[in-house]
Amino acid sequence: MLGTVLGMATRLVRRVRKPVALPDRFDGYAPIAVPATYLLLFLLVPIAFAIFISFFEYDAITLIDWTFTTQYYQDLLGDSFYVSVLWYTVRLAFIVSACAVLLGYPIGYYVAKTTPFRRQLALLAVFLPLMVGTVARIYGWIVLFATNGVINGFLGALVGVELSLLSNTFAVTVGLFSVFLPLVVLPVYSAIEDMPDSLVPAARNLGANRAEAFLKVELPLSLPGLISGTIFVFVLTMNSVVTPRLLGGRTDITMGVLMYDNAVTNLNWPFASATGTVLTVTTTVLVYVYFKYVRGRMGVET
Amino acid sequence: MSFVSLQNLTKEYGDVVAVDDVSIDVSEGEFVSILGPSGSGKTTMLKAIAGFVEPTNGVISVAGRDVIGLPPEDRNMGLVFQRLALFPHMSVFDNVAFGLRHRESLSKAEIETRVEDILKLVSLPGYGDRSITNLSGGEQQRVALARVMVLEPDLLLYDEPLSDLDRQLREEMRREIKDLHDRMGITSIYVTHNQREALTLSDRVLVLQDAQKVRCAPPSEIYSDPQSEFVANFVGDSNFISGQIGRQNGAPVFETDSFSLPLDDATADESDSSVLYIRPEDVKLNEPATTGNGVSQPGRVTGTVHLGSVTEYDVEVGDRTFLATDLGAPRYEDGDEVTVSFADYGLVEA
Amino acid sequence: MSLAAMLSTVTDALPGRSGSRSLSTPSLALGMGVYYGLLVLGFAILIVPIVLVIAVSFNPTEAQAFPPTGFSLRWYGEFLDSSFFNAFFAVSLPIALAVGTVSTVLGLMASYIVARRDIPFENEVVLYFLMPLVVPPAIIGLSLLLLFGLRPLSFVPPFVELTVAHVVVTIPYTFLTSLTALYSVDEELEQAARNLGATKFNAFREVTLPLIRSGVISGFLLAFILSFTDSTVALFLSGGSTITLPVEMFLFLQFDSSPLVAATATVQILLVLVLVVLIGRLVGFKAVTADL
Repeated sequence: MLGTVLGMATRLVRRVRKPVALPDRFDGYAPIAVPATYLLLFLLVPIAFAIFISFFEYDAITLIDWTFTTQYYQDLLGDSFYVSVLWYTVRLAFIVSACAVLLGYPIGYYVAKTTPFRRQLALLAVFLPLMVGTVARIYGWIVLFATNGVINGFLGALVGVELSLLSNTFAVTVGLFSVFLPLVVLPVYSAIEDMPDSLVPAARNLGANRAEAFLKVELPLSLPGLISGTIFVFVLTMNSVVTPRLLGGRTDITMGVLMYDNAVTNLNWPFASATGTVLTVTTTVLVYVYFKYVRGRMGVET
Repeated sequence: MSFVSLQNLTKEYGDVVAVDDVSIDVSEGEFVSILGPSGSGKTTMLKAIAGFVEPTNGVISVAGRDVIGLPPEDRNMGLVFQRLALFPHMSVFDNVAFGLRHRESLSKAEIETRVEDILKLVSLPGYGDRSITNLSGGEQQRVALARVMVLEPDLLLYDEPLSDLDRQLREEMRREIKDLHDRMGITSIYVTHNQREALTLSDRVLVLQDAQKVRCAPPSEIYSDPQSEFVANFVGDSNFISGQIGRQNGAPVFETDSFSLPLDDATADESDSSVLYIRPEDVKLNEPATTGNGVSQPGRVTGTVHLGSVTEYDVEVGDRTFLATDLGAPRYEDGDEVTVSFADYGLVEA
Repeated sequence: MSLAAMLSTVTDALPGRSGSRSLSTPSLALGMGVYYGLLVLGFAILIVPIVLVIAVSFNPTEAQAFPPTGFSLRWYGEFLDSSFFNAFFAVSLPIALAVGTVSTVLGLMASYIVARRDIPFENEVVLYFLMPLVVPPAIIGLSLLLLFGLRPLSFVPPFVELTVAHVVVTIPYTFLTSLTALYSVDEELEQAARNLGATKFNAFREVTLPLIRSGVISGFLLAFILSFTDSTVALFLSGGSTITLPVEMFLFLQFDSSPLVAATATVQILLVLVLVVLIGRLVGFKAVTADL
């Protein structure tokens, strides 16, 4: 398919081509201009525009009333409701990242160390959910957690108890960290796989027991992978929209959900952008601080 | 008007001068080597001629046309790459036919004929359907040669094509290249750091030192009159033996008054004056045996110099004296009778 | 980290031989227990939701019970009649195809220059094309919603908006896969082709392209999957009659719940499974997951 498209382009160009003295790098750099401009137009410009808009007022009729204002930022950072939303989002992100690390590391370790066949299976188990899409996987949790769902069905039959597992922070937390778990596994797996096989035997030869070999050798060396995985999950959780909305209750509002509601339901774009800006700045600052802390404390290269 | 002309060819990359004001006129059908150590600018020169590098200054003309400014595909040259650059996803036939299909409008039948003919010429008859990856090193080399020669370009460019080969293959292909040049007579520029290749293949050798041309002359002249220590070091320690080319039992031999050595260059014409070239490490000394024939001859050591890990001998064979080198401490003394065997020698274009 | 650095970590960390330091059996058991416990929990969390979804899709009744009370394909039949079907085949699928194509072409154009030309600031250029990876999908969705909201651009149909957005998201992937493929092909092959008389386009088309084919195709498939399964970006940009499948499911699940979703999700899982196997076959699993 690609070939035919290019073939047609070739024939077109040949008709138009004139013999010219070509520069040293014979074919120029023209091709890269297209994707570069594309990203400029559809990534950088929109973001800049969104930030720009956040300083103007929302108008119910014309959508934007071009009066400068910092009201939205003042609200976001001053009003206790919005501050609590931000705080909630940050707490959520921390918890989810911590859980993701706790479970993601062993899986990554296992995948790196096991037999090739099992590794393929394990990678499939890790990789496939990632590709299936958030909504489908969340539905699975709904089925599991609903009042007439699987867990409650079980508990009801056995013990006669019913748990409210859905529409609350617990469900959101579980949902989020199940969605992002693969993102910790993959960098950890990479990092551990890159270590030479001889390190652990070397350590044991020098007198370490299995636990020490792990704690003092394997763990520190796989830390960079772990850290990049954690950061990735943290950022994505801070910005999550779909999972909190579907699994959470009325009070489980994250900054992402706030953005979505304001942008799509209320059409209050300036406020939505301001929310996005505050969110991004907060996330960046937190990640930066974390990063520095980790580097300073452990002398780790990433 | 020479067939290929490089005038004041210069290439600078910022502060670095890769090619410094090199000029040469090449006649049609001539085989010129560009000889120099690594980093002396040889490959850059070649790429400039082929059109993959734009010169900072200078003129390149081929068959009367100024080629600077022409894209590589319009220059009617053939480039043999060091790593061959054969197309792995195509068969031998498609590789060889590639140029024919792109440069000229030939019918399918014509292309088939020409490809088959060139394959026969490089001793790969009927190889058309084979895949590139199944070929041996030598076979791949021949396909690379066939691919450019089938186009009968104005100019053939060789970028150190034999550098990556093992010794035996290198000798085989060197003879092949010479053979093809003799038969097809395409003007050739051959880049190498190997003096043996340069001296045995070329009509003239252009020696490059630090991006500059320091000598350009026929091989025997380079030896007899290096004109600089740098050039002398390049060729100085080799044996250049004068003699004649004759026939014995129908096969060509290199003859002096007292001995003869077989030549496997079947096309060598009988000649009154010829120069044999052999490196000292290829002159091997052994205990005396029966009288020599072929590549072994009786000889006598007339001089010994022990230089650390290497020993140099002067050894007389018949009425000529050879320089021989051997690893290790001296095994023979002045006056010893030895059997001298000769490996890998060639004729130098006189 | 260099090998030397790794080894010095080993030697620095250890006190050297000093008597028996092997673990007591109970602590070893505990450690292993924790390890395997976490492992099982982790895999369970990954797999259980998907297994449940597939199982529930075969439920004969509305209830979402497990184990299923019977076996029925009723929900698959309903899927064919539902708005989910429309979203699947008339919206998500065409968009994903368009996204795959455009993203692959753009990624190839960028990676060709990076791989084959000498450019200044090469590292920075590569990072530029990886930028979308660090921008959260919600932000991408929101900012493009705003961009396309303004007057001249507001007439752009959601179909196009979605395609544009998804291409932005997927360019890093197609860029990387074709870059990797290009690096593995010798540059001189194109030069040889040009020397033999081919124009630069023909040289690329006949020599390089066939050799990077599997890398390019796997990039396409990756972009396709990412576009098809994306929910966050699509949330911001879907509208009118153009609602992608994940968004359609999202809207449904906000107020309702039914095995119909399970059936739809299973069909989607099947689609993704087939495509992932295809990529794995073409290129090998590590190559695809490596850039994460």
